[in-house]
Amino acid sequence: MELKGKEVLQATKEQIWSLLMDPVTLAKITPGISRLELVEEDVYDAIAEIKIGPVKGTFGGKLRLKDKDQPNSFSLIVDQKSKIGNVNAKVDIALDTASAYESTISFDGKANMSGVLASKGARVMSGVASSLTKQFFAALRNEIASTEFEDKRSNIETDPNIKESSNKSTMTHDIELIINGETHSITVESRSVLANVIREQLRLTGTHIGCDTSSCGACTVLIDGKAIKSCTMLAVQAEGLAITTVEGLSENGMMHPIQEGFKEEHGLQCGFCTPGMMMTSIDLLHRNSNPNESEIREALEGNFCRCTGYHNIVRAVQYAAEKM
Amino acid sequence: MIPSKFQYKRAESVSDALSMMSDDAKLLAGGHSLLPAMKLRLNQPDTLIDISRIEELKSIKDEGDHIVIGAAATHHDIAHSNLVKGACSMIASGAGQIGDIQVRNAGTIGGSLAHADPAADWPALVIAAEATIRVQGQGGPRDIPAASFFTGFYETALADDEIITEIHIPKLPAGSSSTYVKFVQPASRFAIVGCAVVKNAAEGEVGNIKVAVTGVSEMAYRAHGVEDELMGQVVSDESIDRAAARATDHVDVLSDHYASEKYRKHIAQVYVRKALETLK
Amino acid sequence: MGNYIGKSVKRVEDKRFLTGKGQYTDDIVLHQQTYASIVRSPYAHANIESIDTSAAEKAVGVVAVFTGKDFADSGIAGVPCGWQVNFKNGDIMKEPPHPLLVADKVKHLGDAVAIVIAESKEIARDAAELVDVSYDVLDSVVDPKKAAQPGAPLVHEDCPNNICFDWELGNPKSDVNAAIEASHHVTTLEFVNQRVIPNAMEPRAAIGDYQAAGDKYTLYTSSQNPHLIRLLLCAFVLNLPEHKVRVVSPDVGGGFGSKIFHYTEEALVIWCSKQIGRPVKWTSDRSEAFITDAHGRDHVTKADMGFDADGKITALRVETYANLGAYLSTFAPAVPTYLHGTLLQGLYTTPVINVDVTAVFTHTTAVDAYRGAGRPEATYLLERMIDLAALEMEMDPAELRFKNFIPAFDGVEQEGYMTQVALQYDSGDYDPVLKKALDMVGYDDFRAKQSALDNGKLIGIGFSTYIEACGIAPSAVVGALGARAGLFESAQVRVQPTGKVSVYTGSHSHGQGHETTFAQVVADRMGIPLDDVEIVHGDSESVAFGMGTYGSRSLAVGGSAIVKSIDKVLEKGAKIAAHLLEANADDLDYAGGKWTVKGTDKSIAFGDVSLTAYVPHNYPEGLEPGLDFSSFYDPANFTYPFGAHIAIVEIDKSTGKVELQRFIAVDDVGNVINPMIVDGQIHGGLAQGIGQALFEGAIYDDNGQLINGSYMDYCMPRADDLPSFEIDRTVTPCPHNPLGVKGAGEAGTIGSTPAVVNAVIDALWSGGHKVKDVKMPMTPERVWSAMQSDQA
Repeated sequence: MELKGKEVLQATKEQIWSLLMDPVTLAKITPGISRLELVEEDVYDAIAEIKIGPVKGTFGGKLRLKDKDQPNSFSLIVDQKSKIGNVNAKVDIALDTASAYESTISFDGKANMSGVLASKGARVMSGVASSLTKQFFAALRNEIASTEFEDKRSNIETDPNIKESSNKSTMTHDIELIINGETHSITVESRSVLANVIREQLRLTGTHIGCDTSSCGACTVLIDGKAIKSCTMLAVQAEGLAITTVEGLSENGMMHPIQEGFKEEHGLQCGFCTPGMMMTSIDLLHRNSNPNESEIREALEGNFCRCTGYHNIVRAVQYAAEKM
Repeated sequence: MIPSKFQYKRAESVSDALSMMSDDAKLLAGGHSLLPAMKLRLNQPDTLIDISRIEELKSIKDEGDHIVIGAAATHHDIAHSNLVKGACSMIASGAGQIGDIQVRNAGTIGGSLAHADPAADWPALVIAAEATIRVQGQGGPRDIPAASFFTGFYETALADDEIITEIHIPKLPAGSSSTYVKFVQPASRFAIVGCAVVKNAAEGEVGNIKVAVTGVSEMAYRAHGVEDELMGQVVSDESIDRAAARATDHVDVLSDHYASEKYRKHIAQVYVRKALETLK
Repeated sequence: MGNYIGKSVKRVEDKRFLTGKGQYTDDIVLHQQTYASIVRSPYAHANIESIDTSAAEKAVGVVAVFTGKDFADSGIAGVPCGWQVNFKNGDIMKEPPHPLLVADKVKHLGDAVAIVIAESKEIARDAAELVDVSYDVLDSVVDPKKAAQPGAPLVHEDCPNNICFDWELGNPKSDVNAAIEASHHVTTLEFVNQRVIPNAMEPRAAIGDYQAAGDKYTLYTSSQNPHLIRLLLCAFVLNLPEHKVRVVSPDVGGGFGSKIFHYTEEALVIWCSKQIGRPVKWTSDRSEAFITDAHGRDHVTKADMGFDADGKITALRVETYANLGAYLSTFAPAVPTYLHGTLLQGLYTTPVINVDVTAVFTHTTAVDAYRGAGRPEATYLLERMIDLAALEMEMDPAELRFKNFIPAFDGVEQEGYMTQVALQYDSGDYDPVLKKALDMVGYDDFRAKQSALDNGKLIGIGFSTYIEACGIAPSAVVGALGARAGLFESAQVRVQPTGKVSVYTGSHSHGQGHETTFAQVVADRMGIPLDDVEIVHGDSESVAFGMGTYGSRSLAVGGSAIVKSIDKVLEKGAKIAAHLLEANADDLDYAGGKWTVKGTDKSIAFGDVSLTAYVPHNYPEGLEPGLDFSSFYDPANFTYPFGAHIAIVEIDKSTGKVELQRFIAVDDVGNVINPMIVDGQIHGGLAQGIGQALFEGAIYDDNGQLINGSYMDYCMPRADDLPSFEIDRTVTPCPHNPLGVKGAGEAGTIGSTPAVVNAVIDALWSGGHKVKDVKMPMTPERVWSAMQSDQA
């Protein structure tokens, strides 16, 4: 992630320098910093809470100032760890005189992310740099406006209430799940997604899990007749709703037309995506009894198949449409 | 993938939900923004408050000069609502372009708006429709115009202790047109560029055309440059050319591995043009 | 002989999949089973400074936590490589260990550093987060060409310049250089065959179950070849007694190569199960799959193809850097060499060829065979070159191919074609596939339409005429080339007393429909109903031995082994029948499930003979009872399917978005047992090949982070990204196996990628944008940029 920016501020280089070297100010203007402690010359222990869109994490680690050339330039080195991934960054910051009352601050650097953050957060992280940069400059501008410049140095803790998130109570729920017309009384954890409960607790293993991002559709079941990705619904949310899984498609040993279609038209190979594929197809056929090829392809955009190239799946759905 | 532990509370009403809200609680409706992040443990809230069963949040109603969409209405419900189609057709067609069937069956308009994903479809749709977003907090309801609802990258004017309850969409008179066009990222199916345009027949041939763009910048925005260019102009090839060129005026354009800043900017112009051409 | 071969019999395996009764590894739950979660490196290259497992160990429900240190004195070095390639100078390739858990230095994103075993999945996952690993991050390198430069960060300290081996094949370089020099025209192209991620829909899973009572080990694993996994586990990794080890691959949800290999997790769950005395299950989630399943392709290549004034190819020179990733996966060394260099003759009479390959380690996930394995890379190279040459020389790309095709040979009357790159093709007749494809596409009409187009779009047509070597492979040949295993197949045909037949095959079906196709072969050859045949596969306890399924080998090699056993059954059956009919065995005909004395109506049914074999009261003297035969079949040669693929694309000039409008594939896979299943294999192969051209590609940043490691970022083709395919075939039987079959699993993938890319290039040239290459995947931005940078 490139970090680049340039801004003109209403202060002298020396004034900006003094703000940036002051841990109190630095903590205040750096987005997310909740704690900053000087542990040795130019080395801070920092805790930051970063919350951007779907991503939230508490980062801990060191901030280091290097290559200081007062009041012209320095480098900021960030090594922050968190459960969702680590951030390592080096940013070169330079101050220049623009006029008697104005200076430019420019920075240029690179932040490297690793872990889940890097591989899954890409779409989110792309906007993070500019967002954080903007916040930083806005805060710095505020500081400049409100500061009577004088030297102050101390250790601070802006938020002593750093949350320890490890001791969350387990919450469980006694619920009734109605699956394929049968009512099951079970106890589920709050965090159990429906797909896991169907597979692990009810041992209906025809519903599959193929991804972590609600993308692949292998876990699709019908809930009150609608195709739903059961990996993206908590089991407790499904309490009392009518759930149909692949195991509930045949009636009295007779295959459902969609099952027949997949068999007759060779719409499956390894069989892993097939249950989800059939569930979505049923939802489609309920609302459109005679879909054309492009309608079928569009309707199945939320279900991956890696074996068939979708060619025969289209025919399978058409076959079922004729039978239904 | 398994989320971290949390408490689950089901709210029966809006006031019930408001009373449950706390610092580290998140609202859960369709779950399609929140649960994927939680499964990857990119977010680990203490408490989820389920508002998906609050009936009062699910309805779509006619209120004279506007329609009211409940925050927990699903994309599917909105896409298939004749009321919505009649009031502002792009709201329905745009809802039908979100994600896939399964996502539309579960995901809700309120959830998407609160999440404020910069590449989501709803922000452009509500901004161009000049919708009003009604939110409720302990102190009662307040209305936020869509144009000022989105305040930054995944940030909104919604306070931490508020819930979106309704989205008010003004009805367009007969002869009006509204369109939403979208260039998708083929993996995520989010918008690289989404452009919504509305032309209100009541304002005549040279009226004020509303244009909103999503996917391009840190938040969806009203493309004032485009609108200015068309102000008082008959929509023509020439005016569209000039207008589309200003699609990304005054915004920072995002860049990622699929679409660079330069390309995204270009696509924004192409899609603004595409949307405007439907008005000719 | 019978009624089944050549028929589109509906699949017998479908019912269980359609009713949710398939049984994939993660569906299995054993008594007292525990769950494992693996702690993986978030860095591509780092020293491990410390690992603190104390918090995880203390967590309620955690059974055990192991790290690399636990293997320090065990003598367990890690998983081995199954193929050895030597340096040009004869030195053995560099073969650094691939430990089960890394103790000191991680070498790619996702390298395993600890395993947490707990009472539930949830507890294991939570506790894995409590394992605190301290890393000292080091520089990394992800590009194979950069990695081979002096001064690049080293993946393995004892491997200078990260080079695993260098390798050369074909005619002397000096001859090829001279021929290139002397050519009328030389087409030169530098390109990347990008890294793709196989993404079988079922993530890998493994359960280790050690039973101390009998000292028995059982491994359930989502693998394409359970027996090979057992052999490697026992002989090379954990030193286990092979007769005490059972490996089961139950239903497997797709493989495409990625489930051929022996993975560390398979050994880990077995080892852990023995430590804790309970079964241990590990199931990959998709995020893990993205960074631990072996990836495919990743070649950086420069090629020169020379032509004379008539358009005849005069020479081909190829230099390739092949990325192996951080460790050597099971068959990795074979892919850029013997599965790639040997295919550079293609369908053409190129007189001299030289290929030079440098295989390189980088700080990335291991690369190994992915559908086609080496052959798609070779085909991509040849077919891009020849289409580009046609554009450059202003010749018709179809004509240019006809001009250079090897003349037809059947491998019986005419000898097999000897290539410049070590192979002898079995049989081939190449004009008809391309002719048929041209007819199907309506070529002349297309060109007329292309030049008349004026609607903001560009359209283009791209060709690919490919050959592949499959039916892998003659053991002696591959042994000489470095394989550390034979590549035969075994089959047992067990006739039950009542005449029902159980067939045990060492091939493994994970979508290919063996339970149907093999049953068709058996029922047809034996003249019995299909329902009387059961195909058993995937369990080392019931199947004697097997080399598994990959390289489009199952029918050509595994099917041939079955035929051998059937022949033995019928030969013995004839002896019993002759005895019962009081005739001479030579005077019997076998047809329709019965033996008949020639020229009479005296006959005896198969079931009567089988019953007699097991109730041998009235029985030939000296003949053993029973009707049950095993065979091993080692093929005489590879098989060589070929075909012609044509893509038609449309480019939106304003966005650069490519729409694949039509895809025509005419493939020759030899004889066909079940056309429906073969068509299905082609369809799926096409989707993957098209996926590489237009959508797929792993993106590593400079720090070795895979930045598109999820389905939100890694783009696999979806239903609405593809058209319906137009496919047909010709049939040129394989002359050296009893079924005359060649294999169909990889053809679609091998042929399709260059056809699509060529079509895009053709479209661009038709619009005046004379670019040589657009990088794959051909995203809208890349195509649009090509139109901007070359405004002609």
